[in-house]
Amino acid sequence: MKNLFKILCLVVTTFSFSVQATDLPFSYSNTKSVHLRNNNLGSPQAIEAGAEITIDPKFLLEMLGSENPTQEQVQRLLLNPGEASKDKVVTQQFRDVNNGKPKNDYFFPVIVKTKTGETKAGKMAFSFYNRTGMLEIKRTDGADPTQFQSSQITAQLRDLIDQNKATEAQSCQQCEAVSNKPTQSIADLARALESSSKDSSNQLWAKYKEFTKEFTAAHRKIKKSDAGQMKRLYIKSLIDKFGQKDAATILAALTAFAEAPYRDNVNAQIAEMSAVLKVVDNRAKSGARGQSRTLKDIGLANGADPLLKAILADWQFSAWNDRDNNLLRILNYTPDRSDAMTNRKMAFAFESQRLMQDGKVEFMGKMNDPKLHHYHANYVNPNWDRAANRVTEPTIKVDGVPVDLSKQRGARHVFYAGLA
Amino acid sequence: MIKYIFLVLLLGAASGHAEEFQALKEEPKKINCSNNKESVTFDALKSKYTIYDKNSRDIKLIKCEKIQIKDLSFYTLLISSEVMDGTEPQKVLTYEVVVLDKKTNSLKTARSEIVDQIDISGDSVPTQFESTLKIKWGIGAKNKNVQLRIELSEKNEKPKPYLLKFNTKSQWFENIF
Repeated sequence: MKNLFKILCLVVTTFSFSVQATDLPFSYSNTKSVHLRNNNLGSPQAIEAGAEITIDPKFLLEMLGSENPTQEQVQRLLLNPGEASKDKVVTQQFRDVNNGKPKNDYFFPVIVKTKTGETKAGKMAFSFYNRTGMLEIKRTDGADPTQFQSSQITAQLRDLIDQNKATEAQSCQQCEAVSNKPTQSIADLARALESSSKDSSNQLWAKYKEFTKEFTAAHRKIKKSDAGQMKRLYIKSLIDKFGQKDAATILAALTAFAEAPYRDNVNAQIAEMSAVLKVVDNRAKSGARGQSRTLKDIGLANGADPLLKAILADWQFSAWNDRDNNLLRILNYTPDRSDAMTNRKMAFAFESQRLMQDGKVEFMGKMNDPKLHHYHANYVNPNWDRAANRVTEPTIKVDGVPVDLSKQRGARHVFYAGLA
Repeated sequence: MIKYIFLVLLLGAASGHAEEFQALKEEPKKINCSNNKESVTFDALKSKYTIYDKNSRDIKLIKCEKIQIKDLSFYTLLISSEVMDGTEPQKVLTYEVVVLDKKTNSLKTARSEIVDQIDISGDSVPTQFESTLKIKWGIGAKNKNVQLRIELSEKNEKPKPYLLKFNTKSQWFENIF
């Protein structure tokens, strides 16, 4: 029976995606000027404004076995070309448009349709960042970012994903129950989240949502160059409004939101976020993790809550770096103007904290080590990587249901216990 | 109506800042400086200064200046360096203000501001910093503390200035909110 549901879901998902295949992720418009390279990665040629660029359907067929791939297939391909697309998307050398220096990047075949109807085939280099598990595309072959609306593509992709999720949910209401395999209390969690925050005004999540409305109303569309100082104002405002302890708890949830990868599965999402929260908590309990510019700048050089110190220590959690994209997402976040994926992830960050407090999250083996202080994404190789300290079975039980973080698809975290 | 009141309050606060900050006519003077890794030597000063991010590497001093305000001596640095952001190397442009403690004749960081940051872990990334930094030194109209007015912007952006005040107790330039 379960298999039947899965097949049905797959059919519906594939169908819902194929309906929109002509809009496939890489279309965009209103771009002033971009460059296209030929298949030999030769001299770039300019593309005039208004051209439409799509990834070559033949490429998708070759990579994914379908010209009309499912959303999950596309996401896996884009999120992590280094791993998910191993031996499929290869690094190729090219010369930077601006300075002519040789560089390496992932090149994807694209088709360009100009406003006059002319069609050109060539290659473009993209990078797909997924620190939050949400799509963010950047042109990486030296193109002027002001001449290439990568944020538009990212927004379009997220919209597409959101639209597809809604279609899937409508068409296959039992998909979630089958694919998530949740226990009863967790199954009710997603539905309970919204109503609980409405009913209990004293909950931190509800308070935080109100805070974001006020903050974003007063400070609209914060830019990268302002993000560092706006972060200081944001944190000062949180402390003034909620006190150090609650402000620190909110910042921990925001760290989990920014750092943990996105998961469709409810239990997996809670496990990923709980793991980040555990590391934050362990660092706070073990004492200082270095100095914090941010705390000094807001007049809290001394006497800051240990959790605040652990989260805001310089260069420790990248979401709190002055010019980080995740910081911008946090500063500009408000539930009313965010997509469903972002709202869901934010709600689960706060809910993961509550479940941990209620003892519904159990860290197994080395994941429960108080010296679990480090993790990194599986697509980077930090110089502090020590195989002996790596947690080989990163398992977390969410309300009794085990989730092995190493078995999650796509980008994931690798955890370490006992590193200095 | 509420929006209007809010706007008025906001503008009031902004003009309050403007009244509070009084720019100094005197500008910082360029001085010679050199470094051996994270240790910096200013001009003829014997004391050495260790830059704020001690795990920095590939440190390059871009500009060093000095300004004397009342009995306080400040040195400033514009530094290009690499730091590890947890897992990934970052190329950063940092502006540091250093205060000379006359009692101990030692140099201490009084502010360390990240002006720009480039994630250099990618295969292909921009190599040039794109941010512009403008600093104006001044004093507070009321309590006469040393203040900085900073404008940080990227190209084609209108900068949004912010103010810092020197806290003599903590010897640090804190944000004025």
